[in-house]
Amino acid sequence: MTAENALTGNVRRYELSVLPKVTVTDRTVPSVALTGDLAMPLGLRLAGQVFWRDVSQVTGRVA
Amino acid sequence: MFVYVAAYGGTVAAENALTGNVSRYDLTALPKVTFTDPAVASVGLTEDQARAQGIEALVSKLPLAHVPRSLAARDTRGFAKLVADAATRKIIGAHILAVEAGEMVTEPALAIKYGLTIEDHTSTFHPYLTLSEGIKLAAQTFDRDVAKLSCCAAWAPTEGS
Repeated sequence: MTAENALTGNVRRYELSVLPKVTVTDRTVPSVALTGDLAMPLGLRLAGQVFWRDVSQVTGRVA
Repeated sequence: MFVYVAAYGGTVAAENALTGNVSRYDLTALPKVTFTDPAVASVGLTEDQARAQGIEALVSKLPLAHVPRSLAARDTRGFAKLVADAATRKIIGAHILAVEAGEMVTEPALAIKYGLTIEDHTSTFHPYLTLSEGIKLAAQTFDRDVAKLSCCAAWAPTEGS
């Protein structure tokens, strides 16, 4: 991107807002974008509540 | 999957009964998984089905030997195949043979449902050392030989991004 902007006039924006992160532990921890705590200072109103789902309740995981 | 499809059909039927047939029963983005080892997952059209519908199909097929996670797990059995409409470059099908094919097929299912293009996939970060990276690499395979890329040359911007 730096190279492209150097050659074409800064038209591209460095954008990491949808950068997924994975900690490859057992169990793994993936994450992408905002947490609720990060969203609220940005003036975003959370729609509904934050859900935590016990994976033992997910059919595919029980199988 | 029968339960989900039946629930969807019932919802559409009930909505249409009450609101005047505005909802359409649409299974174009219905994923299917066969839980073999490796598993087989599929969504949308095959290239033959696309051509039978008069769609000029682009096809990419990526052996899992090119996916870092498969190499790390020492299980490179399988492939990820994507089918796209040549006119629009929208993804219209995905067919995956992989240990966790069922986990990989949701991304192309979303792509088909929401009309995402090859470039939408290639320009989206996928986490390193995951099988989902195989979908991005398969999308890149439409236009380049991913065997010749380093791990970090995977960036492919969308127009105007």
